Amino acid sequence: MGNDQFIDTFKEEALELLGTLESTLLELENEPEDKELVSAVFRVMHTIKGSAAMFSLDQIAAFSHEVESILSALREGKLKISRELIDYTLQARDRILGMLEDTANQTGVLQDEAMEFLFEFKTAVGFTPEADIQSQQEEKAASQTRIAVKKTLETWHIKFKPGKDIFRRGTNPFALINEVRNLGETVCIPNFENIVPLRELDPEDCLTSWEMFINTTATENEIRDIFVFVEDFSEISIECLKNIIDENNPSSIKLGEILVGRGKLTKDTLKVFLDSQKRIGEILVEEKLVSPNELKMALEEQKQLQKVQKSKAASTDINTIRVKSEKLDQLMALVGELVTIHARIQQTSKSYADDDELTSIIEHFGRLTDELRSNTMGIRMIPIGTSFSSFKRLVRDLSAELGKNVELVTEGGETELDKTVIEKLNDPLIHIIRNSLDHGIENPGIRTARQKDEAGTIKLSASQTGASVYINIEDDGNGLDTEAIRKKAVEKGIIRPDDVLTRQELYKLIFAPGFSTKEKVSAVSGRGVGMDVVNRQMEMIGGSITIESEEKKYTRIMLKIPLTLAIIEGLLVRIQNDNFVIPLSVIVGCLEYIETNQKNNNNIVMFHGRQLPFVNMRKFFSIPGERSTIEQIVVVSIKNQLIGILVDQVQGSNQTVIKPLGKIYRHAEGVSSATIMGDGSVALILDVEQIVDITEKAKA
Amino acid sequence: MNELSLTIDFAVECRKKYLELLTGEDDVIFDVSEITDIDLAGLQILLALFKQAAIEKKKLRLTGIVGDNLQSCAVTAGISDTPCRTGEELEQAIISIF
Repeated sequence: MGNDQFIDTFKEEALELLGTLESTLLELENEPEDKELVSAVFRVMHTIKGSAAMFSLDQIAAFSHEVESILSALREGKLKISRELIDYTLQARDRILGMLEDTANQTGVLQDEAMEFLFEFKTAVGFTPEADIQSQQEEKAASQTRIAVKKTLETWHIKFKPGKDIFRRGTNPFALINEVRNLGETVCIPNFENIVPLRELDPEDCLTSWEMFINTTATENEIRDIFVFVEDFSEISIECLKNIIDENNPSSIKLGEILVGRGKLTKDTLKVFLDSQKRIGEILVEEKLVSPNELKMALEEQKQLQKVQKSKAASTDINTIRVKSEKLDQLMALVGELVTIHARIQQTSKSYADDDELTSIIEHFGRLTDELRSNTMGIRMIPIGTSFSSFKRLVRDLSAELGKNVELVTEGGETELDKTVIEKLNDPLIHIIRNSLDHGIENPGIRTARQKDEAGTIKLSASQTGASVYINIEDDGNGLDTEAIRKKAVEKGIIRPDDVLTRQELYKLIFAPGFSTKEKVSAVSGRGVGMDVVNRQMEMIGGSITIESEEKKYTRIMLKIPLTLAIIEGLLVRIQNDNFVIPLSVIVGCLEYIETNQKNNNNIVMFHGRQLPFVNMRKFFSIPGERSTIEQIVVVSIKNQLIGILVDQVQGSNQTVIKPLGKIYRHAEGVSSATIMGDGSVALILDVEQIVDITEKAKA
Repeated sequence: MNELSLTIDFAVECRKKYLELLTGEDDVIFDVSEITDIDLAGLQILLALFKQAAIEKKKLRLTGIVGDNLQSCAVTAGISDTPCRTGEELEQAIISIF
């Protein structure tokens, strides 16, 4: 890797760290007593400083060092969390972000402008040079301690059998055992088996021995030193467990083998007992082949070995790797192609239905493709909370700018969405939140007059239902003024004065290009460009928008977004000669429908003892031709309501690679997108929710 | 029995004394609260007493409050991970390692 590549990696990591820093600072502002948050902020700055220095990015290193000093004083309790401190640290974070964009010019000393900023920062938070010097000294001491501690922690197995005459020689074995214990976490197992009954006992003989397992940073020599005065007449063995683990056979730590190794059991005996189904330890004790104490020691050895093996594996395995997102996109595209090819092979193989081997291979191929698809999709899924955190800063800064007191509450940040979808959601969410802040939340005076809390709330929540994720943005502000919207829309020529619009249609006018009810254009909103972006972006990702509002009370904008833009599980259905796909995530069941058996023509059937309304898709799409005698109804669940979709025939499940529809078909009703079938034909993917909405409207 | 130092210095005497405990026909009850000092030699005597009692088919029962020295001796030796507070607890710990 060249130096540039190293710097790129550093930049990637630093960007991630700065993201964490921003959200942690905002959290800290709300919970100033949380010491762990203070430490987390400090650690980020410390890491950035260290890494920047490593790559000779002197200015970043020097700047973050100065900020780190202030944070260090904060950590030591010499400074207090204040709005200014959070403000300046956030600004410092933004400055580092700026420096990262221009890494080529980060050598040399800090620029005056940065120095001035640091001076302002220090003055504002009351950071004195004395505190600075002290914190530097403390940091130096702390780093020295860290270096000292950085010795490797190892697990040692010590066997200590004191000489029989150790008491007579004036040595107390307990003193040695205690010295070992002082080195680290110790498990000490005594062996009293050589102690004879009291009548035979010479009380001045030492008949006890020990096995100890110790987790310590001490070296073998340091451990051996403890026994230096007794080693001539005692049996001592010190072994590092790491060295006896068979790296090629990670599951090699078996109790029976440990006992064989300890000479307590022969291999042949072990084999005999291994053939029975009982636990080997229990059998061996039952058969009096090993004593309970010997078993205890072997079990402890096994436990310690497993512990060491685990930590060894953890240190050698790399748990995560960084992959460029473009590579993931490529992978997803290739998987999509593979799914289509699989469908083609499956289709073609129908002509060779007699060939069992071919059928079995294709089935196997199908299973692997399916697994590959779901794994690849899993890799692309990231929690939406990662983007939620950046909005907190937006709300904080913007509300201060507008002189409003607004809190952003987030919920469901753990909801996962395809990476591409999350990226495309960022802009729409920014625009909606900016609008809520500017138009939605009232000034404190108005809020008080309306008997609302002076502080407004914007609630951002996410949840998943089936193949869709719902994101709600709700503010407890003005609500939408339908009259003002209508007036402005007429003014702008978006609607005619005599147009009759439903409440929902009126609300959606706020997403029309150039629409804004605000009289004055502010830096935040009012130009009417933002909400238009929301509409366009949602169309692009196949999402939909619903608005609920009550004047002077609240506005809730609900975005329904497909979980993924790539591949879904679908149910393939046929109407006349055309194939359609219904997303499997909304399907509840299927049933047969024979029209001649129906008493009346009201498009209702019985399903699990309840009336089920259904939509005749042949009629919906105006597909000509004769209806089959036996048709099928696919039962789907939409907004917690069961609806039937009447089709000619259900053909089976289908891995559907979603292809967007061209511009001409973008507004086609009842279909969301399309897919290519194995034989190269196109199948439309039904937008079941829209079909239900349209049908309900038509009935009304 | 009075205060007892169960250490290497008194090991021979203690052995003799404990053997006498076993001469009777009854089970032996040993009040451990009298042990004021103990080391590994003393602990070995106590364990050997258990083994002897078993051979003689007598039950050895430990009672009383375990003194600090005996508590730490038992922990250091590895008989128990946590200090035994009573003779009964200590008895159980000893039985479990045999």
